[in-house]
Amino acid sequence: MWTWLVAAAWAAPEMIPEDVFRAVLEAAKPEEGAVLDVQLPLREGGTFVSSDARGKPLLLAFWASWCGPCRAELPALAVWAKEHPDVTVLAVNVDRDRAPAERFIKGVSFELPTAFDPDGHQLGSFGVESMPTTLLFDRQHRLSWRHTGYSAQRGFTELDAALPGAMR
Amino acid sequence: MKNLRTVGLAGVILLSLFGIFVGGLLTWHHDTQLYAGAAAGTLWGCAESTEVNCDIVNTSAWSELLGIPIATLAMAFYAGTAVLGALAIKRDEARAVLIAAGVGAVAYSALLYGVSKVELHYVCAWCIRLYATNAGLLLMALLGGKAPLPSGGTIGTALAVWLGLAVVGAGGERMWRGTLAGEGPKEQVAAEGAERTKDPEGPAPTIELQVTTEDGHPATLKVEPDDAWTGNRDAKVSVVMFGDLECGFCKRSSAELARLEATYGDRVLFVFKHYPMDPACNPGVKNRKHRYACRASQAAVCAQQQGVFWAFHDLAYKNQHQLGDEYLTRYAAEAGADPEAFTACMATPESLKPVVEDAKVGAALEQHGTPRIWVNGQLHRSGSSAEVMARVIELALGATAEEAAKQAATLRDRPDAAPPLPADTPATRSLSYGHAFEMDTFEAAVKDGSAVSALHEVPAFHVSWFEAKEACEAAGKRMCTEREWVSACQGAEAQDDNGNGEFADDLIEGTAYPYGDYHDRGRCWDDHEGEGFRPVYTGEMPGCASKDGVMDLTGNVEEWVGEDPEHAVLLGGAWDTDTDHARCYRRNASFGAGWSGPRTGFRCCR
Repeated sequence: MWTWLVAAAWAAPEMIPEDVFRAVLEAAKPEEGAVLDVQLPLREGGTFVSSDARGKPLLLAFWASWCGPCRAELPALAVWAKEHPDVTVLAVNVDRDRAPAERFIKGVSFELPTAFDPDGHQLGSFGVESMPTTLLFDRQHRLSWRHTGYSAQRGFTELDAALPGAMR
Repeated sequence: MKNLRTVGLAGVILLSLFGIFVGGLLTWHHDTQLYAGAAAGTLWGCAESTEVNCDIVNTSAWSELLGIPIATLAMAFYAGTAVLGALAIKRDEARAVLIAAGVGAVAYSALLYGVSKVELHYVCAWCIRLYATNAGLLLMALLGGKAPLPSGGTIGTALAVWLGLAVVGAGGERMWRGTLAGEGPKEQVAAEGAERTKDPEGPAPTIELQVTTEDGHPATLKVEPDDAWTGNRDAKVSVVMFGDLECGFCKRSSAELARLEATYGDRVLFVFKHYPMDPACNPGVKNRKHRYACRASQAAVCAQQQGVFWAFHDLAYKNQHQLGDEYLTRYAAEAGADPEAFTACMATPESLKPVVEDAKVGAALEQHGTPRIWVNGQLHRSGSSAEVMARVIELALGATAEEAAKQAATLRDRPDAAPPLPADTPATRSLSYGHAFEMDTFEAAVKDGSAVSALHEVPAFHVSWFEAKEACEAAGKRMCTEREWVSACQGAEAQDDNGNGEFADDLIEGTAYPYGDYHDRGRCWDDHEGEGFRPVYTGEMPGCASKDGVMDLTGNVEEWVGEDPEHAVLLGGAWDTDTDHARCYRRNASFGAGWSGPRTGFRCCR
């Protein structure tokens, strides 16, 4: 019996305490109510300065050239953006190299202002782990809603539902 | 309440009878598998899968206690609970003993389940049914409400009855086993798979075996002259594997077969048949599961034409992370094939025909996946270890059941658990792969902004490459380069074969995992998906050591490497990296150096 008990004890490696784990994840999240303040290089030239766009809700759509659903999401989002001129929409590419992003843009036609975050700084600060991820900020540019993934069937129904909250 | 109690006790008796039946069934299975004179008994109601394998669980070292099958002891236990259930109808204090027994049985079930999952990596379907029976026993015994505390006499009588039943059961089992036993064998040293270079001369023999398909229909398994073969061409015992070079379970099985070949190569014929999981070349599958599988099989055919099938097969399985055309050509050249002839062969559709022919044979056998291994016509799937197959081979070669069991046991590949790391384990290791450098033994913890390498620390996670670099520099160290990290993990100097500046996408020069070529779940902290899992303390997995003593290179947290942001990449996978993917060649370059997530950690070099 003791050999069984010893084996069972051996078989259960000690994980770090759950509260320690959770605390690190919590600490990594952006501060509640924090105002977005970023500057990102734009594909069209110049820099997107978020503080210049305050007063209107801001939608950041993170995408990568290797992301399949992004191919459907971005053209649809371009249409959505035209229907919602009261929202600033920015597609943010997170590819490490510019070349695959440019190939993607050539292949998938979408009319959206596009910025780059090649170092992934913004991804890390918002805890983004997969593509596509969409972040919606309110008029003061506080994070109001986030969504990961894209379904052509559902489209932007969840975004539409979240929009009034960001318009306040 | 009294009626409820009676119903509960009737339930206890019925469940006990079911337990006796299952105990008997598992005792029969255990003994015929290990000691029977005829072919090992096949257990019904326990379909093999990647999670379930009654043969492995019920013949493991854990299936006996003091030399007695635990299934036999279970029979005695359930006989005792049946008696107690009957007694408790008149004497309620007997029910208290039943409740205590139920609590103990449930706790023991949890222990056995843990051992099955973690130590043996398979569960036994009948054992699970017994665990449910134990839970049912406890619930049924509780139905009558609170039971009076039993007297010492009642407890003593119950224990004496159980002990007596155990002695009678064990004695009976031993007498029955005695009727099965043969003479003791000579000891044999287990062999390891050797490096294969040239294929044996000549075509494979023509063999037709009458078998039962996976769906239970009679069929013929044919070995034909153009099949890839090794071992003894004239052997009366054959092992035929239907494999897919892109299938992870096939990779594991190929290693088991290589071990069998090293031991039985002089007495057994080994044959490989293609069964790629892609309808483009396999009429037996509907959906494309593996995009490179057809092309890889075709490449194996081309390698076979040049007499280097097995060398190619071994390289392709080892480097399964890269099976694109350019890599297949490289593996063929490494195996000794002439690159020009190989390339010409790959360009002809003719070289795919043998693959399609093999797949047709496999489809006629109603195979639903890979690998499928036919040991002298008996079907085995991915869960079958070299030990299990060796037993069938030994029996087919004429050994008695006991001989077969003992010889097969020499192929058991479960090493003893590695002892915990000593507290004075050095914090860094001096390595030399291309150049001399020091690498931290442990994944970094961060204290006061500085990286620390020490045993039993919380490894840093949710760290970007920039933060990792800062912490290493604060400790007077630097980030490891990709080349250093891959070299340390595989135990050989990493080469940039394709000249793209990356090292975790090339031919494996050393081992695929820090501890060897094949994934061994439980060595490192990986393949633990789900909410309840998170990283372990540094050095918590003593078996997860590289040959230089660097710990946790694969699994636990992904590790940032790279001398600058441009070369920043995460290597080795994390605690939840699935199946066998947390390997030395696991490369995550999805996001840039500024990214951090729950799995991103690091270690430092100097």
